[in-house]
Amino acid sequence: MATVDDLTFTRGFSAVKGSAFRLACFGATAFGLLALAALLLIVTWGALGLGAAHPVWILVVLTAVGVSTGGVLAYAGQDETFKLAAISSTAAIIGGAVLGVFAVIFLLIATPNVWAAYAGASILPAVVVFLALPRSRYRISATAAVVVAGGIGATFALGTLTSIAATAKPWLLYVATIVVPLAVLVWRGVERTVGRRQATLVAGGLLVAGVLGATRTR
Amino acid sequence: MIALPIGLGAAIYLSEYANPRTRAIFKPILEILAGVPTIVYGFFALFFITPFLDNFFDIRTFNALSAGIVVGIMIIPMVSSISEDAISAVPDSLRQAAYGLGSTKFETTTRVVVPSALSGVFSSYVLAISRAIGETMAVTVAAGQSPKMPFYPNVEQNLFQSIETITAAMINVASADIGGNTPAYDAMFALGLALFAMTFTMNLAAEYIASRYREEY
Repeated sequence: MATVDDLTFTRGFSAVKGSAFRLACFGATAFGLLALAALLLIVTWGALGLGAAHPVWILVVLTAVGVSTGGVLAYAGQDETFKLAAISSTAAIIGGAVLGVFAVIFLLIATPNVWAAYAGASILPAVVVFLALPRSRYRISATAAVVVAGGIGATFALGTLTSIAATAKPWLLYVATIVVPLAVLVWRGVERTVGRRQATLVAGGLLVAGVLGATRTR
Repeated sequence: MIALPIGLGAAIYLSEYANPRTRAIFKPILEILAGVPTIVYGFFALFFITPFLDNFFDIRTFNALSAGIVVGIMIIPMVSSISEDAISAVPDSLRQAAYGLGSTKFETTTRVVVPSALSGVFSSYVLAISRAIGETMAVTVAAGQSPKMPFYPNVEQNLFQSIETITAAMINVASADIGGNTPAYDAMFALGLALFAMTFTMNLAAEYIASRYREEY
């Protein structure tokens, strides 16, 4: 805003006073930023139980994160064209990890049977409708309608649906409601660009990884 | 003692000294502080500020001092953000006029810009204090739940001991097994009235200060 400091002829005590004031104001801003950093650090440290972790493990994680972040920044700094790819790919990895944590917490709270009831009545039919109407102008609205109607229906029939879901193993419910629909969506998404063979490999890999992951759930 | 000077200092730095790029980075980061849930501040006070203060004072686990500090930190972004908006809204012509009269940047900032934005700065103070007065969760976690008169036996002693907010006291009474027309039941309404009187007085003061120091350009 004000840019005339260089034009203003100050020296001696006045200059010291001005510098001290500027420094104090910067200190106030830095205090706020440090408070935020300390707050986030303490909370993250406590929430993840890092106090119980071995110092070497923490060092390895910090080094890995620091080196990879530094590498991405250095790579992005080389050329403007690299920047978008580097930042978006890093953001996708971090975003995916965060979403994964949220999904795990959600599934822990929801329990497999309740999740399977809502997924079976709402999400799976919605995926089918979404895939069945590739060029329809009603694709989004029809999918949303199925999600809402299925959700309401599942709420009313929750007792029946959860008792049906209870007949299957939890890992099978996760595979049927998460892994298989995700593999189908990925196959449909990449098939046009990379071809049927490559898409089958990607979706198949996802399916195998999902089944292996799901069988490890209790 | 924490939020008002630090918030104003940050606002002055961001609007008068920081370059646009620094301001574009620092201001949103500071405003993130406002988005942190208040209970997180409470735990921050309990697990970080209180152990730190314990090195210097004979302090209890739950104490008023760390609660006051954490609430001060909590309202910094409110003061800095609103004050920064008010200071940035001061027309540049006033600054140029001050420089034209031979003022230094320090004089221009402290005698022209900040006084011109005084009504906005005071409004930010009042809003922040009102939020601090109504804060329940952070203070309850940090200061515990021991109701006592702040001036009895003395303020210094009570700073290091557990206290209780008015809102928490009301919740305790409301959730307790207490019949109507008992002193405790009536005290709940008295506490509510006291809280209302405080915030009402703050709002009146804010209105008066805003109208008294308002500058129109």
